[in-house]
Amino acid sequence: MVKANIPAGQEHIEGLGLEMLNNSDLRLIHEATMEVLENIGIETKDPEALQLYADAGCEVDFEKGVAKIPEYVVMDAIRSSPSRVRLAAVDKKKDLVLRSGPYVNWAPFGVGIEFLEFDANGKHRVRASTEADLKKSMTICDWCDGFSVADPTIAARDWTENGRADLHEVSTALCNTTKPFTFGEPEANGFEDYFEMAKLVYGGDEELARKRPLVNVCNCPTSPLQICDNSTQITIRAARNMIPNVVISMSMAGGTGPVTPEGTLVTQNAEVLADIVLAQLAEKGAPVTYGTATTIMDLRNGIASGGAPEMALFSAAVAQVSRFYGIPCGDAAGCWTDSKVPDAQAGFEKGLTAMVPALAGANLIFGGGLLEMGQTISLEQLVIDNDVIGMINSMLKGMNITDSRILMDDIEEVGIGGHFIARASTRKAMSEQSSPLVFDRNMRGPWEKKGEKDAALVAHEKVEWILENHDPCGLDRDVVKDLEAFVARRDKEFLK
Amino acid sequence: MSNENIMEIIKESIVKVDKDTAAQAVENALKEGFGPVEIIEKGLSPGMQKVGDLFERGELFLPQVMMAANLMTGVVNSLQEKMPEGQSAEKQSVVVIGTVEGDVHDIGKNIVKILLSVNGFEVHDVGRDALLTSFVEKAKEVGANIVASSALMTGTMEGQRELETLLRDAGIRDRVKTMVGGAPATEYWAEKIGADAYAENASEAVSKARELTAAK
Repeated sequence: MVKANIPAGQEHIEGLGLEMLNNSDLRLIHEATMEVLENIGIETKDPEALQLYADAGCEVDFEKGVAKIPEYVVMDAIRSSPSRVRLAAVDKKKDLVLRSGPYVNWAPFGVGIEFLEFDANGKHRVRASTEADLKKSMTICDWCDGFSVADPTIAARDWTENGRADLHEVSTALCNTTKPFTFGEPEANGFEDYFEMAKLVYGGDEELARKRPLVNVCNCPTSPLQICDNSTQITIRAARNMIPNVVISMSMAGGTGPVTPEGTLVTQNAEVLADIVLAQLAEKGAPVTYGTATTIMDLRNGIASGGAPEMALFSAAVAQVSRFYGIPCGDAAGCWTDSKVPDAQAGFEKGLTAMVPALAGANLIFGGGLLEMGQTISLEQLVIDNDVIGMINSMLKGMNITDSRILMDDIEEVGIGGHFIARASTRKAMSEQSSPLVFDRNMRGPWEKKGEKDAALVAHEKVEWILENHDPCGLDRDVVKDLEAFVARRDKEFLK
Repeated sequence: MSNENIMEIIKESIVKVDKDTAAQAVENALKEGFGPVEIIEKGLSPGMQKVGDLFERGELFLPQVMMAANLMTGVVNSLQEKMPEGQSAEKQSVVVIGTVEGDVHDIGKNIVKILLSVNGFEVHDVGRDALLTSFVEKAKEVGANIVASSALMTGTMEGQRELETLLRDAGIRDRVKTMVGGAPATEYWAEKIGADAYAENASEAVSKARELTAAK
């Protein structure tokens, strides 16, 4: 069973947590952001978006495509953004409600374009990802308890020239998980098709398809301070259809943001808020979440780092900033790495970058399965990350110091010497213990007998087992056929 | 002050991004009778070359490279004003670069642009989300030796293939070499669409561009 909304310790909630920013820090970030939005503004070439900003009272230069957004417009938008966003699932019981409090959930990464193939000897090679890879990835994410959502992790690149790759991805996702998902690379003009597909899942029930949207979307402003046409249109259409929209700034401190994390925290905040304002202007109450994949640009080589400690700090800060605004935080980057293979670097960078935003109470942390800052996805890494997530969830529980937890009766009865293994209390609380699937806790002897396998190799075996034994599909055979036929029709139109 | 010495000072002033020393040394060189072209070719260009080498070795960071390139451009512009009519520095290889239509991701392309100009290429940037026809028009206008295109998205990289067709249709494909880059591009992709080279990063783009123009 998926463990959802694991509380990190904040205020009156039990558990372990951290608050990096205090209230005056948050005020300062907010004021600087308002300064940026009011005086510099945000650029977009989309006339519809500019008109929405203008009608709300923003100072808009239609020729230059710049909207300067006054604080009251931002504050109105923040007030009308919901504090809870429901991500509906094919299986209603697996709906995930993202809440603007310190509640932690985990997502895999989306969307990579390369797939790391792994064989039984631990050899690997990388190649362009395909629809078949995506299906496997969906199956793994559906199976892994750590992930509350099963976002499509890789692009169906075998379809980019031959058909509607986006619809293949959506269809593969709908057919291979009963968890909610966010489609990471939507096309603004694909919305009708995504809706039609959701409708097919609901047996043609249009009302249900509107009420419980299945294809959540995401869009990214272009740093610094721009939102491209496709993004503004995704935001506007998602809002008008009340489809949850994840807004993720991917600013790079030192490149597309100021070199100091503090400065880039302000510019990325301006970008995300401008996008959220647009959503609320298109439809009051539109479900939006505040995400981040902001990191540093490594100034030695000009490449965005996915394993940098600074990235973890950004995600932790965004968790607090979004909570300050009462908007759920997701997706926030964490469990990331720059490593190309599931190795020591991957383990270390992923552990650290997952831990810090989790302690800060980011509501949806995405990064599972990611390698090479998101370029590459590995199924083995998905399974390893599931263990990383499980261990962090265990730590978030912290310690709950109460009389009943101290178990004084047991301590007295066992007394000096003896053991607690066979106590009823021990059996009862057994499942509370952390229990990784692929990380080996044996002594050397048993480990040697099992073939001296490292975590990646054990993960590979687990992947094989899951693919063999887990059926992730929650849809009737007819519905799957309908979806396939729908996509095939669109492919034909595409090729015409 | 010996001739080599003054050129060495100009070169080092570029490497150290020392604006005052650069201005002073260039002024001295002019007084001593050096021509603007000689100053560019023996002082400034070797300085940028060294900057490029140091970046390659990881000893200089991008901001230092960009600031050196800005300084170099400033000094070259002021020298050009002093150049006698008809005289110019040795013609460099000309590159037209841009991020293809539909794609707004241009920081990688910008880094490639800087490194190419640092390494002596004359670079014309058609920008991001650039109409494929603008690559072709620019290439014709400036007599490009290389047309380089960048794409970050699997959906927009198709533009790199279309660009090959457009260059052929315009009748200039045999006069230019083409290069592709960006996250989804690969060696295989370049081969498949008939591009002349693929570069994984900015430094590689420079060496590939050198190979392409040496072969011309």
